[in-house]
Amino acid sequence: MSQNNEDNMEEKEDPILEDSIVISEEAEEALAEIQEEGNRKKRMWLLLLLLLLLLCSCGLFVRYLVQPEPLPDIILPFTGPGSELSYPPHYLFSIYGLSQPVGVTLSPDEQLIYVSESGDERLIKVFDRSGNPVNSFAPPDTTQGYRSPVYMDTDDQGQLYVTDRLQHSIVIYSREGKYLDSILGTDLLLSEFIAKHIQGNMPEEITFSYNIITRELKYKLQEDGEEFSLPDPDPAVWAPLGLWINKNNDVFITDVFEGQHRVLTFKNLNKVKFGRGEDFDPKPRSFGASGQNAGEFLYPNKVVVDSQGRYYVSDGNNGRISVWGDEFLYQFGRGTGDGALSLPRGLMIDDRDRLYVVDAVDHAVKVYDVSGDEPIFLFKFGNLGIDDGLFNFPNDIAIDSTGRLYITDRENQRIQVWSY
Amino acid sequence: MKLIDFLKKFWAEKNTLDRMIWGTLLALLVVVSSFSGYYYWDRYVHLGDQSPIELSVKELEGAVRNDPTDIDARLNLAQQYYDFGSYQSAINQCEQILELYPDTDGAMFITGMSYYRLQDLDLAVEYLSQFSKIRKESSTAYTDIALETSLYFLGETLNKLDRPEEAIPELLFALEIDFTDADAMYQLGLAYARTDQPQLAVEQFHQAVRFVPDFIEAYQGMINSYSDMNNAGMVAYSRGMEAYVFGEFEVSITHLVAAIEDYPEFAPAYVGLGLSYEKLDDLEKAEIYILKALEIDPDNFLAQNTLGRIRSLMDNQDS
Repeated sequence: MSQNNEDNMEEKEDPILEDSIVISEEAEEALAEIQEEGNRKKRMWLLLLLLLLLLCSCGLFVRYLVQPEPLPDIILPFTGPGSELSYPPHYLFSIYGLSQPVGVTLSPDEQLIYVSESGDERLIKVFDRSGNPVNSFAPPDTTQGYRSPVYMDTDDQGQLYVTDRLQHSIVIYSREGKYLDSILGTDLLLSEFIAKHIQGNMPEEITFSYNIITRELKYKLQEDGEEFSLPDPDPAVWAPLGLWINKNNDVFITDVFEGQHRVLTFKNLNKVKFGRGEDFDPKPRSFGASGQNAGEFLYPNKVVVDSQGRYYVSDGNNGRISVWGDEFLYQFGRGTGDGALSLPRGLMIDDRDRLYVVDAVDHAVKVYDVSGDEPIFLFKFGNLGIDDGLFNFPNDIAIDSTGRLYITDRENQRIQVWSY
Repeated sequence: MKLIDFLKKFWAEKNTLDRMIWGTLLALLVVVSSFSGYYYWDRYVHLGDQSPIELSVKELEGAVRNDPTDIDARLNLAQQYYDFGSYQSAINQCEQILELYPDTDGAMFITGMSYYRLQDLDLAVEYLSQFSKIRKESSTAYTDIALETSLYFLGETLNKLDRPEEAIPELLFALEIDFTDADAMYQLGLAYARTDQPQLAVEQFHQAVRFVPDFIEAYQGMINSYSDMNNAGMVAYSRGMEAYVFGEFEVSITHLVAAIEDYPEFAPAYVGLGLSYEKLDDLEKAEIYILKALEIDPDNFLAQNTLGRIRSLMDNQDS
């Protein structure tokens, strides 16, 4: 009986078992399909992620090729004063073949580097971006004893403005180095003075020169024509030293005439047609006075303006940076420590409101973040020495949009090029 | 249509997705590595950058090419090659000069120095000897810095060639030109030591450390020479100063105390103790030993200098 029962049980159970096996196989297939679909989805997401990364990388590469900026500046947004983006640049190379270079600036397209020398021939020398010499020039009818170019800058047309300590003037050249004109005072151009004396339109071919030391003012109506002399203008009552031009072509000058140390700002000087005898009366804004008190200057070397319209003046012999708005605001740089200044000379400010101060006696460049209400010292780079990356009385600095810095290393007779 | 069909077929294939993933990954790697390489090249590499010496060499090579008989230009070029470390090129230039003008002493000097740098010591001795012989006969020999340099290197080279007897007169002459040349004193000491004149040797070593107090080789020379003389006290002094220079101040104190036991009136040992205690920040003991040194030798410059420094440190600690 029991055997029969067991047989019956087996007979009854077998179909169920078979069914369950069939179901299980189907389930497994379904499960495998689900798993396959899941894997496929995962791989799809992975592919999408990789494609996104590829797109970003390509975009970044193209962005860098179009506008080469330091990678951290491209990737990370600027986060405000004292941002963690403050990292010092590194030495790249040097440009030699100079005698005691003091001033440096770039052409508007940043392909030419202009350097003023204070030694030997005292020329303006021009180099390409790789440091190869291109050209050199000086004011007409002057020898090295009668000229001393210092600071300079270019306007958006590429005209080069150079202050001359001995000639007490600002000499204007074309991009190629052709002499155009001289600003002899706050309201006098050399061509304007000549035009008034010859009482007529300035011919296209006119050439002229003026040497303030020998007091010789000469002009020729035609290149091969007769040379004429004129009585020289009244002595200049200014001594332009520092010069900087902003993106609106406003020119900012420091004047170190005896007992009259001040800052002058000229609006839109690029609209003046230099060399054509135009009336020149730009009515510059002037501020500051000689002295050591707050708001006074002792040999202000250079002036730059930040994105909020504040003026920063390197107050050389007072060893500080003087900050101005409509009125004197504050000063910084006195004291001790890395951020303290000894003899600030060249100044420059970048798009992120990082102020670069060349400290000639500390043989270093000191960088401050001035985007906030108060300056924050970020870092300094350089030290005394003759090796690559060391300075021996640096004087001026220029910065290009790719993050390259050009620094005149006066006593090492070179321009040092640094890069972020 | 064909393209669409192709894409449909391509997509329907089993491994399409995997292939696309690997392809994209590869493309990503190519783009990232290209960008990294370009970025590094653009920001950190400046091709064709030349040092002032390289520029000067180029300029002088041009001058020599323009006028191969210009001896001054060749000599300047040889000097630049030497400064730049191109010793064989310097020798080649000088040989051409000496072929035309065998008495050009400048060419002999550069050749001798170049052979010295190339470790061809016999030839170095030959050319430096020729140069020194010519210059010694000059009326300005005793103010001739180039001669002093030549004599020093001649002496050093002769010592290296194990010819100390010949080195001694050259080094003595060098010291007559520059009596502060501690390196020449050391080499002279070595030459005396190797010619079995340890007393004269230690005199030179002591002179050398007077001018360069941390001249470790001079102390080691003293150890050897005093050992030859069986002078345990001065060996202890020398070992003490050697340890001081190595920065092992406690060891130096042990040796210097032993030296004082043998030589209680030897001022330099007290100076060494003062210096060691100063380094261990025990300024009071340092002052005591320096004062003792000055009591024995009031003109000891190193002791005077150290005392000033120690007292300044003590004042700073008090304030």
